[in-house]
This record gives sequence, C-alpha cells and structure tokens, in this order.
Amino acid sequence: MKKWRNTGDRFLSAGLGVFILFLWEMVGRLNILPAYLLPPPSRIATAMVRNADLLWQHARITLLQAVLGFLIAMLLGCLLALWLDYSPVARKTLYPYLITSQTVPIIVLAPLFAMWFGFGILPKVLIVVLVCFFPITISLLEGLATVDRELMDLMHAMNASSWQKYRWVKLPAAMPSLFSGLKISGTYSIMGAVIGEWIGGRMGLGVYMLRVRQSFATDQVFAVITVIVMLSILVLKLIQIAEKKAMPWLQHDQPYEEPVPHQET
Amino acid sequence: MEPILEAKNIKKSFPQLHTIENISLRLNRKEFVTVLGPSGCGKSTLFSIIAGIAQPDRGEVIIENRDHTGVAGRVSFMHQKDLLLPWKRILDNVCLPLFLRGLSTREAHKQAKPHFPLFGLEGFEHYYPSQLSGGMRQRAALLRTFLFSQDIMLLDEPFGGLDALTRQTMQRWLMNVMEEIESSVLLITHDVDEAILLSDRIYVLSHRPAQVRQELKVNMERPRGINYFAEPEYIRLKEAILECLTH
Ligand SMILES: Nc1ncnc2c1ncn2[C@@H]1O[C@H](COP(=O)(O)OP(=O)(O)O)[C@@H](O)[C@H]1O
Ligand SMILES: [Mg+2]
Repeated sequence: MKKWRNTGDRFLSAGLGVFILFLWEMVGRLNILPAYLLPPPSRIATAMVRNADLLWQHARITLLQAVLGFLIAMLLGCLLALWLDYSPVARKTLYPYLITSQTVPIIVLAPLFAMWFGFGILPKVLIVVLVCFFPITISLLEGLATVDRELMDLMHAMNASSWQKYRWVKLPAAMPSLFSGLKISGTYSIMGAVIGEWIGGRMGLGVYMLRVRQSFATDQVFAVITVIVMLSILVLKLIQIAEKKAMPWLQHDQPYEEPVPHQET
Repeated sequence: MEPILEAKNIKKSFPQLHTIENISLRLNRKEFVTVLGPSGCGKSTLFSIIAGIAQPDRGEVIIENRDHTGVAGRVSFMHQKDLLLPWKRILDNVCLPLFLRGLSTREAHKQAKPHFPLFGLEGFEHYYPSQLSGGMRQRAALLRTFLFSQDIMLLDEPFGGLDALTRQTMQRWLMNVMEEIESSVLLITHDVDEAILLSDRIYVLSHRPAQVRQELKVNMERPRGINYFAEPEYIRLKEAILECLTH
C-alpha cells in the first residue's frame, strides 16, 4: 500500500517535470520568447550533445575540485566536531566564532583567495572546503549532543572509557545527523567549485560558463547549468549510497512477530 | 546470611527537591529483594547511587565489605527502557559489556551463546533490536545485564514498559530464570503482585522524601505456582503493603 503510494507520488512529480519542460519548449517554439533569452529544452539538449567533449573536459576539473574540497571539509569538520563535543571548554570558546564565520559571504572571499593563492586549483578547493565545512561540523556536533542520556549513563555504569563511549554509542547514534549534513554539503560542493572558478582560471565549468556567456551562447550557458545540476545530483546520490551502506540497521525494520507462548498445562 | 551489598543511611537532595531521606537496605547472597514505592519517590535515584553513577549527599554503599560509594562498574544495572543499541544485532548487543572489558568478538560470542536458550533468545542472535517485540528486547537487555555482572544485578522496573499480558509472562519467566542462576537481585517496581511473586524480601518506601516504611519477608515456597495469589501468605502481604502505601 505504502509502496504503491510512493510510486504514485513519484509518477506525479515526474509528470509535473515533463509538463513544465513541455510548456518551456512551447514558449520557444511559438516564439513567445526569443531563443537567445530562453532557449527551449531541445536546443539545450542539442548544445549539450554537440559540446559533450568540451563540457566533460571542464566538468572533470570542477568535479575533482569539488570532491577534493568535500573530502577535506569532511575530515576537518568531523575532527572539529569531535573535539568540540569532547571538550566543553573548546565548545564554549569556539562555537560563537564558528557561527559568526558563516555570516561572511563566500562570494566576496573568492577574489581575495585569487589574490592570495593564484589561479590554480588551490583557491577553488579552499572555497569548496569553506562551503562544505560548516554543515558537516554542525550536523555531527548536534548528532553527538542528542545521544540518549540514559544510554550514556548505562555506558558509565558499565565502566566504558571515553573512547568506548564514542565507538559504541555516540558515533553510531550521530550517523543519521552527520549524513544529513554531508548531503547538504555534497550538494553545495559543485556550486562552491563553480563560484571559485568564476574568479578566473583556465579550466572548469565556471570558467567555461563565463566564456559562453560572453559570446551570448545562451543555449550553452543553459547546457553548463544542466551539467552542474547533474553533477550535484550525482554527488548527492553517491552520498545516499554510502549512507545506506554505513547504516545497515535502518534497512531491517520489519518487526518480527513473537509466536504466542505455549500455555502451561 | 552475610550481606553482599549494603546501602547505609543514604541521603540525596536535588536543588529544590529533597528525594531520599536516610535509606538503609541490605541484599544477601542469592537473595531477591524488591524495593517497592510510589512513582517519583526516588527509587531510580537510589539505584544510580548504588550503581555508583551518582553520589549520595550522605551515606555509603558497601559491596562485599568494601566501600563502593560513587564507584561505577561493580554491579550491573538494567533500566525500564531496554537501551539496546539499534545499530547492533542482538548477539553483539548482549556482548557489549564483554567487548567493553576488552574481549575479542569470538571470545565474547562464545561466552554469550550458551545463555541464549535460557533467555528465550535462541534463533534471534542476528536480528536487530527493532525487529523484536518489547518482551524479547527486555530479555535481551536482561541477558546483557547478566553478562556484565552475574553476582549482583539491579533491575529498575524492567517490565514497566510492557503491556499487562506480556508483563505477566515475563514475570513468570524471570521467576523461572532465577531458579537457574545464582545472582543476587535488587528489583524496583510499583507492581505489588510482581514484588510478591518474585521476592524473598520487600522494602516498602514512603513518598518523597523517601524512607523505608516497612521491611517484609515473603515466606512462600519456590517456584511459586500459577495460583500463588490464592495463598493466605500472599493475601496477608498484599494487605500489609497496600496499607503501608496508602497511609
Ligand atoms: N538529575 C536530577 N535533577 C533534579 N531532579 C531529579 C534528577 N533526577 C531525578 N530527579 C527528580 O527526583 C525525583 C525522583 O526521581 P526518580 O528517582 O526517578 O523516581 P522513581 O524512580 O521513584 O520514579 C523525581 O521527582 C525526579 O523528577
Ligand atoms: Mg524510576
């Protein structure tokens, strides 16, 4: 029943997507808007196929920067969250700065990074790290803080060391929260790399996007946007697969029905 | 009989709340003792103190003639909630105390497996807790408690979260298990029938600030039959306890 409902919902949202694409195509075909302002989906698709090679050359670089930045952010974010969770003093001291750091818009930092670190891959990776770092840190920190008090008391009663408390209880309990942070960061990571590329460089989807925009090839601008969306979804899907693999216990939630006990006679 | 565990003159207040006023109790070797008292009177607090995870304001906890006040890890402790780890299968869940002690997976499994039939968990070693019924989860939690420390177990309303029918089945089951194992048990409950069915002795506590109102001995043969509640001893005890709780 529930399964059928899910399929039904999916069908509905896919149908809406097709309908919007159709309207969009009609807007172009019936010359309601000129193609250089809003190219119809068919032209965007053609542009993608025609420039597939070039798009892939640039996408590779963007993907590399995004993944690299994401992994570094994950490492640093998890370490920081663990430290802040472990040490109340560190948490009280650093937490306000962590929150404040998020009010600095990345987009104004980008040109500075170019000044400091040049036009290579480094400033782009750093921007991705900055974008991804915060959601990962906060989500893990929250996950670690919301562990059942009584479960921790039980661990205490069983004489568990700090390391054992993390290993057996805190880390697994924080996993769902951590993964929701990873999914947010993962989706932003491609965008972060593209923003980094806007400040300059030789390769990457951001660079390519500026180039085709300057030549008013609107259909190719849209082609790049489509590739960015596709890459973001790809990263999200990969994280979702990792999530399933990392939390097998959530896949087994059909309750087992206890057999009726035999009556004593 | 020599006491294996003694709590002497325990007193505990929280800010704004005077919970325990001078409670002393004792548990003899292989004895089953129940602490019966109204909700919120400080029974769980008392157990945290005996388990060493909370400090009393005054008084001491003596285990086998040694001071254990505020020292965790000597006795095992079971809670009303099963507190099984959702991410571990039943076998690994019950082995948790052995893992914490540094045993390898193989050694721990080898120690735990022989107890599965007695605890009614045979065949469910590789299920996740979420796949089992409430009664089975409590049995798993009890096996985990047992594997941590077999000689002294504190059970804090172990069946409080179960429906009435399952609770009765579990009480009978626990009574039978007690015939097979050699543990000394302190049980918290506010179920009078449960207390009489399972105990050798019963402490009745008063409302907050909690004190021992009465100490009763249960002089009934073990194992107690299905119609134990028709025996005069049962009726006498129940009257005495209700009298004590309602005044
Ligand atoms: N850490 C604490 N801080 C303040 N009050 C507490 C704390 N723990 C328990 N209490 C209060 O102490 C009283 C006794 O609690 P508890 O020992 O859990 O009672 P019982 O197990 O007998 O139902 C309750 O009113 C509870 O709200
Ligand atoms: Mg309680």
